[in-house]
Amino acid sequence: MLLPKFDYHAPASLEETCALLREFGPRAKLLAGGTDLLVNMKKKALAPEQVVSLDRVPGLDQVLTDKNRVTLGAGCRASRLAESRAVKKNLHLLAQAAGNLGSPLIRNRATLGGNLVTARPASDLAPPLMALDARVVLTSADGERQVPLDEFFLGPGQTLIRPEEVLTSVVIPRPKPGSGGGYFKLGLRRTLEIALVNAAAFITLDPGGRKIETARVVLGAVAPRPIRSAAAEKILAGAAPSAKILTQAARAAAGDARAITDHRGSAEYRRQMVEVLTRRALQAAWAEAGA
Amino acid sequence: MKKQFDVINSRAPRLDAPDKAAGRAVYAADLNRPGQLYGAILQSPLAHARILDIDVSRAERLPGVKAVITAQEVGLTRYGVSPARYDETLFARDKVRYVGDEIAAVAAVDLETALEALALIQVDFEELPPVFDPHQAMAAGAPQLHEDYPRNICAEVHQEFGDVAAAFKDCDLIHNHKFVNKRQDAAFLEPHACLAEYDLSGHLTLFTSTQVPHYVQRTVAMVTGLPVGRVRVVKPYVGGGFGPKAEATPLEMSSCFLSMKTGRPVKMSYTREQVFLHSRARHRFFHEMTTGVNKDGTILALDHQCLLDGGAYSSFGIATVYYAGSLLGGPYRLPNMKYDGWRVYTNKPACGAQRGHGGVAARACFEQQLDIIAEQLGLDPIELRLKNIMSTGDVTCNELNMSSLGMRECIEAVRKGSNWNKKKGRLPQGKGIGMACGFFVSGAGYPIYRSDTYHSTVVIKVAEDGGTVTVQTGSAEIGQGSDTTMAMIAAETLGIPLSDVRVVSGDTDLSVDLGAYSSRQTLMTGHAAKEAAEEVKRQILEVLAEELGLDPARLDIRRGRIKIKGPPVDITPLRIRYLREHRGWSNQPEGDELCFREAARLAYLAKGTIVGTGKYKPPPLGGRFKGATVGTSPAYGCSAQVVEVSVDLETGQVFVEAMTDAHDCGLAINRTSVEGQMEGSLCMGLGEALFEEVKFDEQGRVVNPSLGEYHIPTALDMPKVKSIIVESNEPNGPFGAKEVGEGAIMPTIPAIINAVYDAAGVRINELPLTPERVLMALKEAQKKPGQVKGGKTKAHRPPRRN
Amino acid sequence: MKKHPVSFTLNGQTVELLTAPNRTLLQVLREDLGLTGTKHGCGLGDCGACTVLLDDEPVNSCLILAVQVHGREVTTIEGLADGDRLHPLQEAFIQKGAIQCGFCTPGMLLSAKALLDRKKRPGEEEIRRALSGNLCRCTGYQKIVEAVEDAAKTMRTKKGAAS
Repeated sequence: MLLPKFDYHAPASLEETCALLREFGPRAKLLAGGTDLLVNMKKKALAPEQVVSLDRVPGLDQVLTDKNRVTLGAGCRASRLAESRAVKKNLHLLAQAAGNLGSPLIRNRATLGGNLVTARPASDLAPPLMALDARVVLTSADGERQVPLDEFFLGPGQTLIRPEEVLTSVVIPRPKPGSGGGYFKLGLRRTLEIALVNAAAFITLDPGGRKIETARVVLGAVAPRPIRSAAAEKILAGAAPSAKILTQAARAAAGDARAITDHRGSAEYRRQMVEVLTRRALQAAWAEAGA
Repeated sequence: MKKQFDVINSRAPRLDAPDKAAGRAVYAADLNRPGQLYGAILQSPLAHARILDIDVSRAERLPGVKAVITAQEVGLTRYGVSPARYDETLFARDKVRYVGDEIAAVAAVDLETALEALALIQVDFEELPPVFDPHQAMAAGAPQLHEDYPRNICAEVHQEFGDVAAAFKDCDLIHNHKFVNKRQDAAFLEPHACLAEYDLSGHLTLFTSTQVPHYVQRTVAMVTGLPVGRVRVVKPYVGGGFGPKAEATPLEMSSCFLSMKTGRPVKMSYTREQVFLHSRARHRFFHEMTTGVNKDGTILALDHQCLLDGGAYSSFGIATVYYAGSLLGGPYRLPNMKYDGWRVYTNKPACGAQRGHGGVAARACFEQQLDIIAEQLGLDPIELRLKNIMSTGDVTCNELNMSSLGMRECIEAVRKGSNWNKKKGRLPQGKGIGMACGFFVSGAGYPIYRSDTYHSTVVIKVAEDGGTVTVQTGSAEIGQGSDTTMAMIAAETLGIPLSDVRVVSGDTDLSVDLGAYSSRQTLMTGHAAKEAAEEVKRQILEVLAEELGLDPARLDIRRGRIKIKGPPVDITPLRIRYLREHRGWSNQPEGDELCFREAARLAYLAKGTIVGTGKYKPPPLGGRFKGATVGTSPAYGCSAQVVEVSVDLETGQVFVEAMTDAHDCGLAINRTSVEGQMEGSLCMGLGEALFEEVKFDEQGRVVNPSLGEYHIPTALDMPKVKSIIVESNEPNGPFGAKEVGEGAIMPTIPAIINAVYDAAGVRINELPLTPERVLMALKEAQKKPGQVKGGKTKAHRPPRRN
Repeated sequence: MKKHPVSFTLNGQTVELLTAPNRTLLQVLREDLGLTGTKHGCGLGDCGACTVLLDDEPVNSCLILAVQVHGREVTTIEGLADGDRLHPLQEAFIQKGAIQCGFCTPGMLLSAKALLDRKKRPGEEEIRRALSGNLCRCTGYQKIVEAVEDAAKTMRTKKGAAS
């Protein structure tokens, strides 16, 4: 399968990158892991005139932890996110999700930024990051802005990012003690699957451990973009954690799903799986939070 | 009594393994020739349309394009797999019949240019209404694909053995069961690739990734019009075949025509998407079986109907529709069997032969039904099988002869090996164990074209010096290990170490061999190799006997040494002769027995180059009824499997936790290779049971033509397999050997679906067992708690006839 | 479309070439450098037949532009053996019957090497996971897993034994 023709740039700095994007605008596409862009170019779904590689731009793959936040460079590979001690310790559900993305070969290339910017409804990294209340940092020649990830996705392949911007990092508030998360993905095989349905949950218990202080439930692949389940979160907020409450919340989450029927599965099955996966994600989150 | 072998029946590492491990093995796409052009094929975007006009002028004018060919240039010679169904032409002229149907081909200086040229070919279509469902295709008023086949019936079979209606009257239980699979893809890792070279003296050489150089040679000769003696087909290493590569492809024929037209080598390959569009893989089968038994479990009669969704052309389908019925004649005693089968054209890629050819879905249906019957009769599924299995020497109602049949041994082996007795009925909800049996031919009894040809010929040439031999065979090493098998058979027969045998294969210049399909090469090519080796041995020992003044009956060759029975013989004079001829060499022969290389040298000096030829053709097999040939074979492999699954009762996901497989291969020429074929078959069966289906949209386009969306098992999806080799010593096989390559897949799907029933209480009779399908079945079952598990007993009623 | 110079280390040797940017590493290896050991199975990263090591990490070379390996280290199957001494993985694959058609083998070996270079004593599940991006249609993975276990043992023993 052949790639179409394009002009290639490998800027050595973020400034240079932004200058190129300002110049080319929508005629350019950024190349990071290539596992989505090059696939789509081979399939003739995309044919950008200019390809701007981020390979030489330094500082995009850092994992920084401080008292209040964890900052992940957008260039972090999925394999790094899955194996990093800092990520596994502080953002366990993200490490879990990253470890389930594609295959080991894909994980060695796919990047955090790429997975977010390509905005696939079944993205593996978006639901856990939304559950963690992440914000994306978008950089251009004009400066930097931060957008909550909840608001970032508009639809399949569509985000708030502007043509002249680079998604440079993701900022996650450091989970408080008494927090836990879970991520579950449903596919046919045990690996190399695009999720039929996926779900992420993150809860923080109050200092006494008897009430759910905050809860975020994110559903993937059942809407044009990953969505928070307001109905589930409403049931959880302030409630005493119990198997019953988690089950109720999961049932409510199924109601928030806007699944479609396609060749991979029916809307009804997906809806039912939202309930199952959400419950399992919540149970994992509760177990981690209580531990 | 276990025979002692020196070479065969061992775990000898394969001859081709080092090159493959080092990345040095050459496959068709690795070949390059100076001055080569690159070819590409224009395919129809429509499922059914008349071609009004083809304008290639703009394509021809594109710089870098060296040839554009359509039906106008190459003609309309009809071809196919079976001469009874030559229903395709290389390029469509009047109409296209599926999305992917070939219309033209281009050769250019590089692939980009060739693809650009395709886009410049203008085709005017008049769209015709397509038909995608085989039931609809047979109905009155359906769009007709081929003029010669009304109601789109490509082939129909009606057979009856014994008297089913009468037998049903004696049955205590008659059960009706339906089963359907999906169209599948062989998904070999190597897409088709080829390189055609037409030289200045009018000889065409086609290097191609094929299972059947011989059939490709004949088809290419027929379609190009070249004399068959000027067509040579050479098979490099092949990255898997599994059936779809057992026929000549439009890729191959296009490259041949393009090379002939341009006078330059033309290299071509299919993209992965094109592999799906070409297909020639497993049909979709709609089975309905009505089986009658006695209350003690004796099977008395089977009334079987099957509808095959054939796609746009016949391919192997005329054989497939027969196999779907005939392969139920065994391995159980079945005195009365009726079979009605229809293979129907639809506007989709053509389906052909894929591992287990026609028997896989039928076996799944029947083995699931046997489990249902066992449950209704209160019998253990294994006991029901044991009650009915045939024995060695039995003949099926459709005249297939079980010259060896280790069915009982296989069943007992998996019962024991899986711990069935401890697990059956004792596993917790969500965990289950299931079993099934199967059998398959060791080579089709008759070639695809009507002929008295030998099925295999082999030439063994002894090096004039050095004591090595070369086995020359047209047979096809496609990964199953046939080269090594032939080398081992030759080495064993001759009495020399395996390391002294070289194999050259897969080239039509070397010998006639029908190729790697229907699991034939170990038995058939093996016989020919054995015969050739015996002939070589005879010639050598004859010369030696003369030299030594002995009765040749006293001489033998074992482990590379000449053994002389009876009173000792002084071989010194012969030794001295050899040493004199090799003065200055190191590694000289020593010891008081002559080495093979000394004897071989003597034979050369006496007679010139020593060559032995062997040949094999099965005896006339089978009955005299229509279609009797399909299913005949000189021998049948058989197997039993036990599978353990766990079912996630909330998602419907099925996980296969353990597999135990016992396969009767007669005698394992190479034990590692036999296990490898067993394990690979199980993996393919698992994929077909749980994940695999080719999907179409309403325009007849393949929706999932990629390995990302057509899911074959990964290393994480396969459990450990316990492989048990059973050896029943097949009298019709070389050293007792018979097949393993296709028979091993037969029990896998039913063992899995039977295990799922054991785990979750639902019988799924539609493949694949996606989580959604399983969950929906679970939910349905929960709604009706009172229903007897496993279906109902029906009073007999005459089966539907179309 | 301008061509770009690329200089990289390939199987321990420096390679310099000029390439159009729209050529993948797989294409350049197979077509420009004549190293046909790396295979094309699908072109979309679904099968792993094109696996190479990029700075010791296994990746799908069909999804990497040749220009992207400038300044990097690439190892292909041709670089696995040490001259004529096969790598213990290659020996194990041969001995255990882990090779049938051989098309997945180069990629499988490199993914396995990357695992054993990181982990001395991988469990069965870890081995399967490390190989889960490399599809095989012939073997059912059984003997491949056994071969990797075998090679791991050999490599541990060799390291432990006094030379």
